[in-house]
Amino acid sequence: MSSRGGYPAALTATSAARSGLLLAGLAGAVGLRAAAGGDRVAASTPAALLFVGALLALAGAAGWRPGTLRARHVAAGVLGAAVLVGAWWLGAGARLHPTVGVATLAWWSPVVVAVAVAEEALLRGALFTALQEWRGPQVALAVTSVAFAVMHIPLYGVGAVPLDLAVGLWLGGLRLVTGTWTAPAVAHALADLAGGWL
Amino acid sequence: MLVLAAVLLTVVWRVAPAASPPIYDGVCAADPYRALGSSTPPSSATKMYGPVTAGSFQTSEVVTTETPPQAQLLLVDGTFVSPEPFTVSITPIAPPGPQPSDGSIDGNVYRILAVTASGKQLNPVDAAHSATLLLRGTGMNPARTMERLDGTTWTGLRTLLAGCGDTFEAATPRLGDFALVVPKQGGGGGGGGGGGSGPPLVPIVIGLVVILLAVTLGLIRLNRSRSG
Repeated sequence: MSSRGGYPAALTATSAARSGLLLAGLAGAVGLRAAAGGDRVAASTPAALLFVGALLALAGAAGWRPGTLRARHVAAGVLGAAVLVGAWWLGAGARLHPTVGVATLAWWSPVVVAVAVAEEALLRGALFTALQEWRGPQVALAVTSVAFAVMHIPLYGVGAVPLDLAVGLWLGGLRLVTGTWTAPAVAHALADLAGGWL
Repeated sequence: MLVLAAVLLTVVWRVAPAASPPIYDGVCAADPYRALGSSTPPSSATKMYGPVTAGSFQTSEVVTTETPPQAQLLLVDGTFVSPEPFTVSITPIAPPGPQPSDGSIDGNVYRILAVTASGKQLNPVDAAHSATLLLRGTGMNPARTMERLDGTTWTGLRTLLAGCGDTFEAATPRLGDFALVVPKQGGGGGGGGGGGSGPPLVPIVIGLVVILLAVTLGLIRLNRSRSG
């Protein structure tokens, strides 16, 4: 039986189909968020929560499960977040934006964490695994990074693509090194929280 | 791989616009837009600089204090040359007499000036050192165009969507009065809400939900066939 990358052909075919469906689903979820968010999609909490539900449903349908939370993976995520925040501080330290009030942060924080975790569950969870099985880790890293960058265009414009591509590579690198979606999820969530709390 | 990604991150942050929101992504925590004359007035911003020679002006920004800022001015190295101290200011002003010919003003008009102690107005030294201006609109659809008032005529600038979705940025080689303009084809004025023509949202949302359901069912079947 022919195989690719050590995986049997039947598995790679299934992984290919799963990868394609996940990418199509991701596109649909992004479109749904943009449509539901209306004129201010990046600030729409209902659209964000709809997006979270769609991503988690897709990831779960593809066989993704959260797995056991391990301290070393969380630690890797915290370090990963420190690099993300540190890069922002070093690179754009003079460009601090005003912080919001604590009352706003109280509702904003769980929403932001939910979005980050859902994105990682699908991108660095289900999709990364499917792509890795199909085409290997380099393709998985490249595709999920590009997907991460492109999916943010409807929210922040094309200007954010270089930054989100770099972030996607970092989070994908964490996924490769740790072998789990937990570390990038923790890094992503903490970095997003830092945007409001710092 | 991780080292490369970390270096790339730092490099991108050096050149990325400040409008890249909540550091990386997430839901934007945005206060309602503050219009001039409303009960919560928009803020102004000023920053003072010392004398600068050619090439000695360092990257800087002037930002209003709303969340997100309604006006941001980003200045690169070498933007200004001045033998005396000067002040860069951002001030919301009442709409000037001349109106854009291609649409209606959305939100506030902002006066962006760099003025020396002796009253001389400065501009960026050349086009290569254009200032980047970001203005927040009251919405993002239809896309706004940033325009600058040149005497009695509004001049459109190449405008990009940036920041938390309703912020737009443009490079300008000259300072002055700026505003976001909603194109005439967009229908109603720049106020919030669902005014203006556009694709029907309900069928689009329904269609996308159907597609997502189909994809999800497809994934479930694949998963079952794999484990079965």
